[in-house]
Amino acid sequence: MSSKTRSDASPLNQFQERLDDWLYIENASFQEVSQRLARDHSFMCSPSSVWRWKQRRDEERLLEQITNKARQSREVVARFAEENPELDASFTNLLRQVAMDLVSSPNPDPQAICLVAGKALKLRDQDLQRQKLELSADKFRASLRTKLEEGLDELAKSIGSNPEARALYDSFRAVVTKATA
Amino acid sequence: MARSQKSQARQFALLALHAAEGTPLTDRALRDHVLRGLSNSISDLDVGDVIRDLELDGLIVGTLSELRDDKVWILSDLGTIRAKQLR
Repeated sequence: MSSKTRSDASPLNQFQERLDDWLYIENASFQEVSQRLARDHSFMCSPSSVWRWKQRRDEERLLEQITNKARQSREVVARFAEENPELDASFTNLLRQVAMDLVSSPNPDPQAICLVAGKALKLRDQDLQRQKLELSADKFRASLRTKLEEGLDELAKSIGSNPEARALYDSFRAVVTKATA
Repeated sequence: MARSQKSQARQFALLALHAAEGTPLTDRALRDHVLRGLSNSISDLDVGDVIRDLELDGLIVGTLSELRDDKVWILSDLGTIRAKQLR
C-alpha cells in the first residue's frame, strides 16, 4: 500500500524512528520523551502532544501489521497451493481465510485448524470414493468386453461362409470394439 | 455510542479492510481490529452496529464463510475509494 504525507501530519513525524524506539522498545513515559526531544533535538513539545502522536502511531502500526500479516498469509497459501495443484479452489479459499484469521486476528480461533483438517479429510474421502468408482467402472467395462467378445466368437463360427452375414457381423464387431475400448 | 466514536470506528473498519489489500477479514477479526484500533473505548455490540451500517451504506460486502456460521468482509469499490480518501 502506498503511503503519503497526511495533511494533518504532525511535526513530531520527523522523529518517528527515534520515537518508535523510545515509546515502543524502551517504553519511555510521555514526559520523558518530551524531555529527550528538548535535550537531544532542541524540539519543544508537551507530553500530551507526544501522547496524541502515539495514538495516531498506534493506529498506523496496527494497520501496517494487518497489511504484513495479510501478505504473509497470502504467500503461505499461494506456495501451498502451488505445491499441491490437486487442491480445489474452495479448499484454497478456506485455507486463505483460516491463515488470515490465525495470523491477523488479535484473538485467533484455534478451532479453525480442526475445521480445515475436517474439510481436508472430507475432500480426501471424496477423492478416494471417486477413484473407487473409476476402478469399478474400468472393471465392469473389461468384463463386459470379454463376455461380448466370447459371444461374437461364437456368432462368427455359426455364420460360416455366408458373405452377407459376414459383412454385417464385421461392422457389428467394429462397433462393439469401439464402444468397449 | 457517541457520534465521534461511531465515526472513528467506521473509519478504522474501512482502513483495516483496506490494509488487508483484498484479503477478506472474518467478522471476528474485523471487530477485534476496530476494538484494538479504538483502544477498547467502544463496545463489541457497537462495533457490530458500525459494521452493519457500513454494509447498508454499500461500503463493505459480506459473504458467508465456508468455515463457520460467520461472515467475511471485503471493501466494495465505493468502500475502497472512501478508504483511500482516509489515508
